[in-house]
Amino acid sequence: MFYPEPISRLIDAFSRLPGVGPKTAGRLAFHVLRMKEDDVLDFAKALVNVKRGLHYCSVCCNITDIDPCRICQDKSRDRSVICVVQEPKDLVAMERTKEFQGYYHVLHGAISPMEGIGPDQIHIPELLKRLSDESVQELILATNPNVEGEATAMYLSRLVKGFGLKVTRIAHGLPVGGDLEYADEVTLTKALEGRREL
Amino acid sequence: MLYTVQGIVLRTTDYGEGNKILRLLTREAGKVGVMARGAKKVKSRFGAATQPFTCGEYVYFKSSGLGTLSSAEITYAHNGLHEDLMKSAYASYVAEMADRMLEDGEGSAALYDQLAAALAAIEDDKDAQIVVHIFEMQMLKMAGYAPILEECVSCGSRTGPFAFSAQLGGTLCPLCLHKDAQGIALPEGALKLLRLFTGVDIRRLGATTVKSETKAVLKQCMRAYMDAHIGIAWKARHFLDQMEKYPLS
Repeated sequence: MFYPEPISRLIDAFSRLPGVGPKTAGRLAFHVLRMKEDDVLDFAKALVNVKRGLHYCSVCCNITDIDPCRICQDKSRDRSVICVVQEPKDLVAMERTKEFQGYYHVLHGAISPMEGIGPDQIHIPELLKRLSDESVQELILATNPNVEGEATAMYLSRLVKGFGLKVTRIAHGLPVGGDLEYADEVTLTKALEGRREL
Repeated sequence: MLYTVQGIVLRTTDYGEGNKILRLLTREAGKVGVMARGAKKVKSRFGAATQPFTCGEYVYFKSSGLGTLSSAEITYAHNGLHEDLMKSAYASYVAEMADRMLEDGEGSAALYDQLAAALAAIEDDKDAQIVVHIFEMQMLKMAGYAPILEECVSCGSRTGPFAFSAQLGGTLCPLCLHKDAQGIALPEGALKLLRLFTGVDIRRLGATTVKSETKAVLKQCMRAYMDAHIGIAWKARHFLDQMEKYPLS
């Protein structure tokens, strides 16, 4: 390698990130070299803290720095509804709507026959424990509208039958601002199936 | 160059922020890899056409390596496979076989038709296990690993009752049975079905009623044979095993 050892190691570290090739990694490494020492230390601390300071919430399995997480500690939320999402990023997307006031459960994945990911490999037992403990009346299945998400929703709906809950699935259909002309047949069919009276 | 093909989505892999890589089994060009740019985004016109098991007309640009999807028109979405977990699992196994047993450019129009028929049969409530075994046999035949079922694989005798030897690659007569300690006793009904599977066209498959004991033997034979000769750890088959272990109400 033509670079000094510390730079080579930094380039190697950056190139392990998704979407970062050796050229970009080199550019980032030289940018770090030009940064102020305090900023570099903050950057390094942020990297270490994200690994050491975060863990799963003991209630909803979201990633958190405090246990239970801030959402699970919020007493003003509706305890009777749990929204099941696949990833922490999906929870953030739901929170951005400011419409949902219940609690969440993060599965950290989805059942995938293609990838051989079964119910054992995602956080379903924790959800079942919550359903038997808490006064939940509705379970909203907000998994992705793809094969894996549908498989997970189907599995969960059948699994929780015994709890006597209302189980709902988020609607499928046209995106706001989209054009009907450009919608595909499957999306339009789903939109028709889920139509509502005005 | 722009290609227009009839294809079935075997598998999708997320790539970058919003893209997907599709593995398609096409009627015209065998198995191909195509990049669908922006397919993960909400407003993408490729959203539904890039779901696994979807049959459609795909137009892609390709100079070398991976093609880039230009347009996609769904012919049949197989919604029924997406809405039933067990059907989805069986369909995944069929698609996984086509994906992992074929190299890029391999495949034929006949195999495309058999895959399309297998997915349709599973969706139409035909016995999914039987459909899967027929497709396994078709893939084995295409790969040149079809078992010998008309005579003893060791001595050529046609006198039964036969046992099935996965290791030796077919049926064993009573005199040669000692050559494979793991030989599976093969009832007449199971042997007839195995022979039938090698030649049957899935498009002509009607309603089938097979006894559960016979199905258990068929599963044992096909599984042992696939493991002995293909040697791939099938992810979808592992999933099916998990689902059988924890049956739902």
